[in-house]
Amino acid sequence: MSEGVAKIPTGVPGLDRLSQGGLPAGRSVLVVGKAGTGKTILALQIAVSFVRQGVPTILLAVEESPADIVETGDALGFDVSGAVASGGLRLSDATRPMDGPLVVSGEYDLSGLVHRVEALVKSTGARAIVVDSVSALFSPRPPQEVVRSLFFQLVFAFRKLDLTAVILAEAASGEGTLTTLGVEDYVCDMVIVLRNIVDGERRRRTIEINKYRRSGHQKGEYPFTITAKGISIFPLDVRTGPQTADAARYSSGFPGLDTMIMGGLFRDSMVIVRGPTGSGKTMLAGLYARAGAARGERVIYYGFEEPRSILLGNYETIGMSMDEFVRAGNLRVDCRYPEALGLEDLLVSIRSGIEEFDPALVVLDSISSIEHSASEKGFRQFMIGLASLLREHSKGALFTQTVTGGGAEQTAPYLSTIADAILALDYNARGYELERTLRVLKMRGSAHETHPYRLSIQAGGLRVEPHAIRPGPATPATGVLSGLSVLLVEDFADSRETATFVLEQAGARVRAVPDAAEALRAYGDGTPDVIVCDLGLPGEDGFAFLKKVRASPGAGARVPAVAFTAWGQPSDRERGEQAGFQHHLIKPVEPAALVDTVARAAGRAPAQAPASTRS
Amino acid sequence: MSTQLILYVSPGSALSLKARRNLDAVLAGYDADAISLEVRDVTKDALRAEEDRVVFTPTLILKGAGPTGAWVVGDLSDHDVIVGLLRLGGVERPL
Repeated sequence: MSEGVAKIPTGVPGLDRLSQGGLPAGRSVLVVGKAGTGKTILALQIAVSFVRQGVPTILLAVEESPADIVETGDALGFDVSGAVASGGLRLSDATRPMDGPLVVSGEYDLSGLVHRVEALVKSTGARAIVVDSVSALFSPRPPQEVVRSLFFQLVFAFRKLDLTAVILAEAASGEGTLTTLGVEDYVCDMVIVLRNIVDGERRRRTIEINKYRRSGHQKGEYPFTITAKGISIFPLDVRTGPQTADAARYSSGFPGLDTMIMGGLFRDSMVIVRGPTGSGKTMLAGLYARAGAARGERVIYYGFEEPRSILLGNYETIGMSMDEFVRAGNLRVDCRYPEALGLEDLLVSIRSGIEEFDPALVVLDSISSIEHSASEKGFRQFMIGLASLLREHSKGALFTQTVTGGGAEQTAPYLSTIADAILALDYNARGYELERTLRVLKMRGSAHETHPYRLSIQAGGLRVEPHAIRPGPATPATGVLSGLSVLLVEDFADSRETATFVLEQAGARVRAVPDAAEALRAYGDGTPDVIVCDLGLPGEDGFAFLKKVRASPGAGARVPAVAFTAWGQPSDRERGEQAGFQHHLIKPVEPAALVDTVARAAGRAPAQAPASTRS
Repeated sequence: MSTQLILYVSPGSALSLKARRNLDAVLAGYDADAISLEVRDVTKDALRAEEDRVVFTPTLILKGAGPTGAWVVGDLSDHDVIVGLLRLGGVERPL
């Protein structure tokens, strides 16, 4: 719905995508952050970009003198002095006089500043203004109602002058209000929040569009970094996968695997190879990299597990020498220890590697060594940032991940969302022999074999044979739910993603929503075959939601419903039954149990899976 | 050597009018030669307001008060503030 708002692009990498086009023209934007979060840098970057686009801009310096601001901007490489010299950027000094006392005696308003800005607009033709910062403008701080009316006066004046205003404000330290002044966000059309989180010993910066009146925007916090070129945001919605409809496939480098996935990987898809240590992940990664290089494509291989000489030596030993491709210049092998570099810096370094070398394929071996050097949240943001980066540049990628059991449920669910394809490697001791398996857990947009294949490692590569092992009883049978539509109501994102993944693997079409209100809307769009609903939900709970469904006309009274909850008391079951739930699943739920229960709720007996399915 | 006062006002503003009246009342008690007063309309004198870094109106600037000067923001309802700052600049009210 962004058509209604005229926008000016910010030129800040990533921000225009988050904001679906830029800042609202002729309106005020509040940028909120604590000291050191990068507010001034963001504002300068936007101001210089405005000037470059031919939008004359005023920079109202309140906190620092204009000279200091120019110096800051020039040091960051924004060429603020060039923008000033060109006449496009006009600096206006509103710093407090420091060379004498400033006394308040009685009431006052902002007419002085407003008229100054008016005069500047008249003389420069300015169409935008940056105020750095409004918190400094009201210091010492007048009473709340005075601040409110003065701020209104300012924003109203900007609006009358048709200025696109970027107003910086100090974030409040407590909960409750957004800024120390506590009034600005109400009158601004857009609010951007910058955060600087110290996470363990690492610093993590995030940006969030908190509000954008009359415009859509990407919600949530996105990681950003401050580089030599300014702020760089990693904004893409990682769920936007590659276009698979007629997408070209290419060889994974492993003919047996290509057969299992009906011809090869899709261009620009992201693949996760999971498995325990020694299951052949690095070998598979090597095959993938070599195949790309042999096709004449450029490939970057990031090794995080061992030094470069050892990695290359290991490939040599197993008959997969990389030398030829490294020498030809289309395979770059870059080994480093993620601990030595913050995740933020690692991401920046990968971005510059991708931008400079422009590879078709990127290998990260392994993401687990990154995971181990970061907090859970830090790793999550790294992976989302990385996935965004790869999508933005349309790169194919393969990540290896070390897991102990090969299952999907023990690893972070968002990884499953990021990946277009997931391969699981595993081994079992069979007498004296090691029986290795390869299984395709997921292949977005394509049919694939779902049974594990027997895998053998041999000089120069890997080999598979089909149908060596039947799936065990703990594995949900695939295809059991094919053709079924499931409405999944679950507020906890990780759990929602996992359950969606599991149900989709079994062939169901899943509509997943976080609360009762959205669930009712989804229900209104079409009656599902089965409802799977959490009981504890924000706002209206699962009981109330289902009662409404049961009371609705049409099929509502009969739709089978499964309570999916951590509430396991007999009284909870009883309340669930009264509300109309036929089944009660207590979290945590085994994937097989979830699929089985949904199948039974839909009146299907858990059947033997077909050999392949579409996911 | 007289102390120079500059009062920035905005036209049609009740607060500016009040400041003007308050200032006149205070200055009535002083020797007219010791103090020079200039009233500037921010709409007509925006360039000089810019140079003087005026943000709020009314703003009174006392050049020569203290080492370099002093700023008073508001409608000047507290007369003692002006008297005190003038004294700081060496201007006493004749008894």
